[in-house]
Amino acid sequence: LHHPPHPIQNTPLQSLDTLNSPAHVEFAQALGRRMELEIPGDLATKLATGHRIATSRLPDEKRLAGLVALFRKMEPRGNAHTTIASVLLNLDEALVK
Amino acid sequence: MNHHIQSSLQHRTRRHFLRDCATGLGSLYLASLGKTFGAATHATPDPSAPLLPSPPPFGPRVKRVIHLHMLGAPSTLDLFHYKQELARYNGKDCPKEFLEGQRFAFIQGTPKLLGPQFPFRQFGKSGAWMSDQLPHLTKHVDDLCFVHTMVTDQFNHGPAELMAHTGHPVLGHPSIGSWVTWGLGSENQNLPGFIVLMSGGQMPRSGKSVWGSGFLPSVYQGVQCRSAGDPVLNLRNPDGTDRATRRAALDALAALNQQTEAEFGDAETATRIAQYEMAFRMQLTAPEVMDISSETDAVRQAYGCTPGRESFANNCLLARRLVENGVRFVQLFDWGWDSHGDSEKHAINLGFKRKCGEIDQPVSALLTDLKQRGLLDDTLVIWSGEFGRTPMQENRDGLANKFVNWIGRDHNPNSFTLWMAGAGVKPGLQYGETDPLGYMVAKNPVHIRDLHATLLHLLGINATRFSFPYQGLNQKLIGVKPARVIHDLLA
Repeated sequence: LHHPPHPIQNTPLQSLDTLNSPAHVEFAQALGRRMELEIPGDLATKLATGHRIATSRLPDEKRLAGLVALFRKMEPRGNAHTTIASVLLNLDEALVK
Repeated sequence: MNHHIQSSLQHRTRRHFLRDCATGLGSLYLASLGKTFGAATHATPDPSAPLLPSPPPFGPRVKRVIHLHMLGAPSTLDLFHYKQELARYNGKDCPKEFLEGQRFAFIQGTPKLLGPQFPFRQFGKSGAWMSDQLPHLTKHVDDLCFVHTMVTDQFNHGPAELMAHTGHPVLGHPSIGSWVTWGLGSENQNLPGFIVLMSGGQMPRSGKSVWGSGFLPSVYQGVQCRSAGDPVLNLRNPDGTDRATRRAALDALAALNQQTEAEFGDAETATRIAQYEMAFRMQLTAPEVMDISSETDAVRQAYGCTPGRESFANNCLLARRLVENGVRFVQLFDWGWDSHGDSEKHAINLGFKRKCGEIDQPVSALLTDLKQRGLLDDTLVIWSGEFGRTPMQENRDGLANKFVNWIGRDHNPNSFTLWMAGAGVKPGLQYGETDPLGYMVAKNPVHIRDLHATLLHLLGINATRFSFPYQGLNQKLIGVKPARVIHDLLA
């Protein structure tokens, strides 16, 4: 008889943890710094590489456009790289794939 | 291959395909959402708002449930179920016919019968017998609906807990709270529909599976809140992230996750999107709703709360606040009720008495409070363990005197007492009869499955038609064995 693997956690508590817990905030800051300072290339390349680091694959055009749009929106507030990094690390693909 | 895709593919069989094709693509779509109350397919749950309330197929008597589970299984022979015969035969050898064919966790050979350990007397207009261990609760005796003939299939804690909460003794089935929130949604979209609170200390033996969603979408699993310190951790955004920034980030995240969902077809991705939105809303609502310090001193004293500590009393007050805010199903777990008599804390004459003292005032205050606020009119409170305890003194290792100072009883799945109070049930009722020793059911057994069928009935759902297709079977809370609504319990 086939039994599926034990289901993964999928609660709002987990979402709060991966968005706000001190460890995850530091993960996002570190990935943000890598995109900002270490990864060469233009903004799209930086964000695409960040996506690859988080999910092991490059984003398609539509996904990348979404990330770039969010970056532009966040830029005036500061912290744009960290915000993008947090989104990348909270992607369903990054959490379970 | 991704194991979730794999498993969701394995849940779909040729049988599903052929059945679904019979009535066209529309039904294929509806069936893919799975929810059915029977003949008519129910309004489909929107994956982006999975907890939207949806009315049950017929008029509900109960809108919300507070379930108080005493983990370890309290001896109801020493609380609610008075057996005079048992008192008379205290200390005598247990008759052979009671032992033949029975399985025990610890009893060996011929144990001695153990009479009620506390004085009993009758209370209220209903004249219900109760021992002196729950003096506050005796004042509510005419509001309680006692079922003395609960029966379960399982005699060990883990499987019996699963049986009590999922209707099946094995892992992988949804708990009642999951079934109910899947079927009915919840009245408050800013809080989870199914919340679990622990008194601290020991977890259920079966772990979080007793509030798991099994094969239902995981958005319906119980959400365990902490009962000491912050009820929910990480509610505050990190420094430099205001609510508008978070909103923009979540919008982008949702758009990206929706693309993932479209690409991979994993329904759990939709759940995840919904959970991020729930988390965002909970950041505003949870701190306020979960804060018992905003109650008056009088209320906190009535429950016997100690804010900031893990306690059953705090959880009882929280339970009232949660149902008041429209949470559909609130599950409380208290622990330490496994009175084998093998230690001080597990002795009926010692630790058990202390446990009774811990729950008596909070449970009574909860009933009073719910009644005063009119919530008892559409909220049902259930108190029980996972099975009962033997009318025999446990004789660990076959020795009558291994633990001379500690009195205890072994597990008994054949009968135990459960009580309910509130919407839809007959107050002041004593239902069912056991044999003279309180060991086996003599009349009117109520199996766990019958209780589940009755509970769903009260919520406006026909348990025999409420199903989810999984592994080629229309799975139900009550399973495939007979289960009936106990109409005698209904008001």
